[in-house]
This record gives sequence, structure tokens and C-alpha cells, in this order.
Amino acid sequence: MTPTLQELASLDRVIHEPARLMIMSLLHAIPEADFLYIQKECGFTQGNLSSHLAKLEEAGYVYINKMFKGKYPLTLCTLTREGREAFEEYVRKMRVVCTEFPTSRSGKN
Amino acid sequence: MAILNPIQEPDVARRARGYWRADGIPLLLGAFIYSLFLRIFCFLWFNALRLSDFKGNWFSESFVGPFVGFAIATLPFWLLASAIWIAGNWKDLVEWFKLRLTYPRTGYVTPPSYWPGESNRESSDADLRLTQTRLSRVLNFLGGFWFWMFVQLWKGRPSDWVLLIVLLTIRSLRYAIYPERHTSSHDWIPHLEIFSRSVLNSFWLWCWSAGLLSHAISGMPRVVTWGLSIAMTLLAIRILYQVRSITLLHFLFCAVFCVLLFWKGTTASTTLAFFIPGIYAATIGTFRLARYLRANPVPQI
Repeated sequence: MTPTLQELASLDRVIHEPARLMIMSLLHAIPEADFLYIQKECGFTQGNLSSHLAKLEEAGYVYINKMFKGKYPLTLCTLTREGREAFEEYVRKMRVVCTEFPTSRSGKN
Repeated sequence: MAILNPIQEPDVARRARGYWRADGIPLLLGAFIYSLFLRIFCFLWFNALRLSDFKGNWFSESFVGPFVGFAIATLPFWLLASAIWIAGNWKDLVEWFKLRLTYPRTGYVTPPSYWPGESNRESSDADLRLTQTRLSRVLNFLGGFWFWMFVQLWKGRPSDWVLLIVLLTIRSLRYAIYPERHTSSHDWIPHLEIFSRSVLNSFWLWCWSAGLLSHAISGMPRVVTWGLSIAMTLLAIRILYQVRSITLLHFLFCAVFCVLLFWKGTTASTTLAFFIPGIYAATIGTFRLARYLRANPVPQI
């Protein structure tokens, strides 16, 4: 197995799941977002988003803060420092793999 | 995947940044502030309602007259005070409306002005804004009024050409003083381009081209001029964190001075100068809000 392929094996599985990758990408780009905003942006159902956020929180990647802004209840989600580092590491590994295997080579011969 | 590109801003971040303006509420509030100024100018321009109009009417003379007269006489000041208060609390007021309209529909995202590194982003544009330190923010804010102070302190009545030369000189000096905001290129064309853009963005240039500054010497006592300058400085320090992001506020301060300067000589062009941006903001804001409300009904839980 080449070192590049071995990189794939060491990918963070918590982040690698597409739905969680979407959430991590979103929270990496913005400092803080509400549950409803993430749900709208990613197109999840409430239950789906809840379960994925719970997994990310369990891994210590996302901090969830339930609060009120006026009378409006807010569930604010923020990426933790560990989450940010894990996501950047994931992106670095994926970039290596993507550079090694450009899409043009995967076509029909 | 756009997120992987380290040079460009990810699409999700751009969308979140635009989210603050997506519902049109900030624009509508801005339009409301402009409308307050418009009312002041209309009041001054028409100058139709006076205490003398109530003469000969026993009812107004005996009871209504003094109250209505007092209300009319002080109306511009109340409008002005309201506009300044709204401008000072602009962010809180926008949040108040968003809490009731936007967040229950599409959720909350931290407003762009609270994003880390946002000051660096703003300072990179060509609008000659300096946002690194508190002092520099205040100085930068006041920089927009150097020209106005010159006009006020000029003895007699400077010609339009003198005003234009002074305006360009002040702009050049500001460009030379704040080198960190410029392009690092040694070529003169990018410098010229940035400088020209900053001149075109100058509120005073538009005042000058509209012929408004020809009437600038209105015989206002110097003590009032200096008093206003000091008050403006204190206010700039007071609202330090809002000066950075609200360009609208800068215009409002200019409008305050215009109200005072043209107290005796308010013209249709002065009124129009605040009517056009107000109408523009109101139209775009209403359109955005209507589109937003139609696209995002309140979710049923």
C-alpha cells in the first residue's frame, strides 16, 4: 500500500461521514451558528441534525450552547479548538489524496 | 469543494456574511433614518408652518397655538435627536427586528462585525479606513470632517475651485498618512486607481458637485463650530466600536452638520441629496424583506 493510500485509512471517521462533514465545513467557515441555520443550510431534518451534532459533541469537536436571545431560544453551535484542528487535518489529508489521484485519470480508457 | 480553497472565502462563509442583509431589515432601518433627515429638510425647505399662521384664530391663539408652535419650532431637533439615537443603536435595533422576523424562520448566525479578523477585512478596501487601534479609528472617523472644518474656519467665502483643491489636498494627505492600507505595488497606476476611488467615495465631493458647499458659510458663530467639533469627537469615542462598521453613521453626521449649516438656506437640492439614498434604501429593503418572507414561512413545529 502506498503512503498516499495509507493516508486514506487514517482519515477521521467522525468527520468523514458526509452529513457531519457538511456541519464541520459550515462551522469551520463561520464562528457560530444556530441549529435552525445549520438545518436550513445543510438541508437536514431536525432528528438527523440532532443525532449528528450529538456525535460531534461527543467527539469534542462541537460545543453546543443552549440559550435565549430575547424570548427566542437559540441552540448555538461552535467548533472547538480540537474540532478545528481535526477538520484542518482531515482537509490536509484529503488534499494530498486528491492531488495524487486527479479526476481525469479516473475516466474510461 | 469550495471550503478547501485556502485563498478564496468559502461559499458558506459568504452566505453567512450576506445573511445579515438578506432580509432587508438593515436597509429599511437606514431608510427610516434618512427619512427622518428628509423630514427635517422638508420642514426647513418649505418653512410654511409658523406661529404667525395661527394669528386670528382664537382657538389656536388661546390654547393650541403655543403648544403647536412649540412642537413645530422644536420638531427638527426632535427628529435630529431620534435619528442620532437610532443611528447609535443601529445594531441593537436591527437585532430586535431580526429576533422577531428572521431568527424564527431561518436561524441565527453571528453578525459579520463580530467575526474574528473582520477589522482586517474592512481595512483592506480602498475606502481609506483605518481600524487597527482605538485612536486610529477615532482619527479616521474625524478625518472625514477635516474638510468641513476647513470650510467653517475659512474667512469669507471660498470659491468652488478653492474648495475642490483643498478637498483633493486633504484626500492626498490622508492617503500619504495611512500607507498600510494601500497596495504594496510600486507601480503608480494602482495607487492612482485607489486614490481616485477614494475621492469618488467622498461625501464632500458630492456635496461640492451639487453646489451645496457654496452656501457653507452661513454665519454660524465659531464657538458653535468648535463646540460641534468637540461633541463630535466625544461621540466618536463613545461609539467607537460602531464607527468601524457603519458607514451610514458617517453620512448621518454629515447630515447633522448640513442641517445646522443650511438652517437658513435649505434648498431643494439639499433635500434631494437625502431623498434619493433614502428612497433607494427603502425600495431595495422592502423588496428584499418581501422576498425573504415569501421564501421563508415560519416553520411549524
